[in-house]
Amino acid sequence: MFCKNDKKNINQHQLSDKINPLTIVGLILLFSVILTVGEQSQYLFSLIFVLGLLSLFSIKKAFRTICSLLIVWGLIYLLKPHLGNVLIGSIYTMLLIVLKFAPLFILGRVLSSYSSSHLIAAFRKIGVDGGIGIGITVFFRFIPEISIRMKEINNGMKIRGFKASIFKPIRTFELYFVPLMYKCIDISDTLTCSIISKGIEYDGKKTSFHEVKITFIDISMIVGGMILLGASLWKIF
Amino acid sequence: MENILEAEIKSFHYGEDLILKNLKMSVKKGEIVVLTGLSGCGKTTLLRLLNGLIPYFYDGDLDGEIKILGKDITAYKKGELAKYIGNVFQNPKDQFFCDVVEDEIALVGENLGLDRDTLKEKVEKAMDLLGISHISKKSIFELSGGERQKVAIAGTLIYDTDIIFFDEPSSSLDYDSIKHFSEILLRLKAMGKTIIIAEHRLYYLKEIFSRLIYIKDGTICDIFPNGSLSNDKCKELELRTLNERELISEKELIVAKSYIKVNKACIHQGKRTLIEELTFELGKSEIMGVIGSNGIGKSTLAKALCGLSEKYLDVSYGQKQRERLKNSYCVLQDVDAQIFLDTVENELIFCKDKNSESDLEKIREYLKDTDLWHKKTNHPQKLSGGQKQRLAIITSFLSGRKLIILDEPTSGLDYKSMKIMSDLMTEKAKEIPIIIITHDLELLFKTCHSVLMLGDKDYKKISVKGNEALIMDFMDKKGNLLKEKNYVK
Amino acid sequence: MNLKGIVKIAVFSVIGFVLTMGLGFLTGSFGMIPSLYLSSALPTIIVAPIFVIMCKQVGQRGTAFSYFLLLGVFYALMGMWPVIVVCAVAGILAEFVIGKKENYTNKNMKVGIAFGTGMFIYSLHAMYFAFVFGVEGLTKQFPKMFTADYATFLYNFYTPKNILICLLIAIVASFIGAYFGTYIYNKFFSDRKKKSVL
Repeated sequence: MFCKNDKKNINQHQLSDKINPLTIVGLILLFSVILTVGEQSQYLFSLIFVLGLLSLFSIKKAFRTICSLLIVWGLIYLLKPHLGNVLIGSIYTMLLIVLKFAPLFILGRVLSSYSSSHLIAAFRKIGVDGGIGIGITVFFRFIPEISIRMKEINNGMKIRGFKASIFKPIRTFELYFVPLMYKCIDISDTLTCSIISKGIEYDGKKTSFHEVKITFIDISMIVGGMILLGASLWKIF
Repeated sequence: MENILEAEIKSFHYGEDLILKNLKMSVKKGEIVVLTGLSGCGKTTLLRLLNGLIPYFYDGDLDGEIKILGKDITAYKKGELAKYIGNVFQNPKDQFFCDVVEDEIALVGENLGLDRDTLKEKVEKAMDLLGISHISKKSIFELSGGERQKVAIAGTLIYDTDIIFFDEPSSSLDYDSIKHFSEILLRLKAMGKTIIIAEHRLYYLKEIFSRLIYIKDGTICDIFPNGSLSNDKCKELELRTLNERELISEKELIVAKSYIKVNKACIHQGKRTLIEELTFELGKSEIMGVIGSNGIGKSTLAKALCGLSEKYLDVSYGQKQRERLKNSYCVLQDVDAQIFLDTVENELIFCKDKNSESDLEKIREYLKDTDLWHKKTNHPQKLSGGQKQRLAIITSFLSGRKLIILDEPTSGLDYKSMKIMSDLMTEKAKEIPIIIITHDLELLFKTCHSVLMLGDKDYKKISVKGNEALIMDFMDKKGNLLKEKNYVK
Repeated sequence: MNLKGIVKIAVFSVIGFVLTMGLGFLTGSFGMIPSLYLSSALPTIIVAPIFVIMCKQVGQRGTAFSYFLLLGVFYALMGMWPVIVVCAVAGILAEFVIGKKENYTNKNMKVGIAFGTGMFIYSLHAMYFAFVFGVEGLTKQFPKMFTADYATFLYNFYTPKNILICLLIAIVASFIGAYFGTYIYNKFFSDRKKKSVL
């Protein structure tokens, strides 16, 4: 598990390949209960664990997440003396909720580090297929696409001399979203043609390019999660 | 040899419209057949009937029969055609389902139940054949146009499909990528694949095709075996040229007073400097082409000149970004992102804050010249690709700016549409200079007075007339031409 | 539901998800109280055209349900899995409001109202956090940071009066969203003949 600097990238890849996406899903389910009923010690433990997991996938993402968490924690600390004010109090609570459920969001980021094909393969094993599988793939396919298109539309607006303005919300919406929606209709048609011609409607058993199996690492993670869950539930009773 | 594909179409209707009629064709194994004709002739509909997308995706009423490998196309089970037919669509990026290269290539194998070990082997083999093994784990968003094309083709090699359909494959490629693509086609031909290509650009297929089928008004007008189609015949049928080397410039170099000056402009992309100390001048009625290989910085130059990038540039019409944006207009490659309003006529009317009667008259004239008058109250986003490109160009003409820059205005257009564009540009250039970034040599020779050749950290501006061979050698990357002294100034 | 429809719904739901989440954060950044009152009013208005256009394009029964279900799936991918249940209920209710299959293509206002209904049910997930975790969960997690007084204040927020205000805001937003969606559809996406000014 511990690797030298030069071989870091290769080893990270191999390690993330070894962890089954379903384990991450399982951890999300377990942690959502742990974070609700557990105490501070369980929270800290789960936070450190997921940050460690994220850094196995991408050091950059983990670093950015730690910075964001520190900023939120810092803001909470700063706002605490002013809780008397209702607005400040409500912002404070919002930040607190974000901090409380941070491990879940981080696990979500870990899940999105897998390629969509790998996720579909994993979900297919537990019987989640068809429309939901397509939905998940389209999600990962489209998130970068939307940002690319918005940049292009922005450039187009600059050239035409059209300006976005908060005082003209309907016009601004028309300028940004109408070309975006037309583009999406176009792309969805091409995409559908493409997957039809790649046999997606074939009535037979589907295989997967990615290997999805349960290894010792997965089992130990789930067991670890269950122990943590047990510890937090035990405190209640 | 048996026919791998047979089509006998008495008629095909889409709603009330008759799209195809009395069409009979057959293709033998190992043939490379090119379907060509003007926009709207029905070749795309024919392609969709042959690859099964009609009726699975597109609607329409067919009176006729299509046979693939001797079996009626409707007799195949849903998705089964993927075992025998591969498809490469017009815009490879839009057709990718997965976000990683090797996943996209493996998709067809997964859908049809190929076991993992065989699938892995086939994916590796396909990537090897096309030379894309080094990008197997890359995201599809980081690929160049040529690389995307290769990934799309690799996907068709997983199931050893006998027939591969290409729908206008060169429209999203630049000059270098088209050359690589024709080499790939030869490799596929050597493997015994049967290839059917719907295409406007013919020059890169000259040595490759077995037969060329010319379609007009929904029916086959003529079939040309390789060698029987001459350039003169192409001109007669209003097709794109078959032999680029025969092209000559139709424009005289004009010596005009300098109207636009660019002085020692440095164009960057991120931290990289793409073009150093670019200096050139444009006369008032000059149309200048810009050519160069893939990645050299042509589109980046366009964005810098029109004010989308580079905070400061020493140009005569605006050194700051805001001034450049106000005084120039750039029609980008993807015109969809520059169309905003609810009707075609509004798109033109809102080019200016206030329109006088003569402005409205100009709008009417442009709409009639570009054959868009009957579509003036339609949604501009619902127009066809060629119509949108024409609309984008006349929008730029009506903008009232000092300089117009067009980035690949004729990619994917047939000869007739390209000629309309060329005439419009020639007419407009009487008032203001136009810069055209293009790898469409036919457009270059028809429209441009001069050309700016961009090399690696070097450039040269020369007249087009008299330097045709030099320009074509430059495009073909023959020698260090930018240092050549013997060119016609 | 054919493949064409599924892919189209998936594509539109991704845009809907990005906007809903983004606008939700925007409302939330003003603090707990405004976000409790407004809940999902802003996303309801702004995402309505996307929903209306999607329904017109697909025009099949199950479109609304699939949209909300996918929304829930995307939230689950981000780590918030309980939202799937809320979204599934929202989707079923939206289907119920739309009613007949023909209404998908013929009645834009009904589609818009259905969307507003679904979004209001979806917005209850915010209430879920405030209600259930308000006192016990938060005080337990951060005993030093969080005062019991404030937690109780939050818990007591959900009086019948306040719930009624939330509902009223949601209804108004629903109607505005439906009108906005219909307006955008008619102006940019319909095949209605327009008058020329030339």
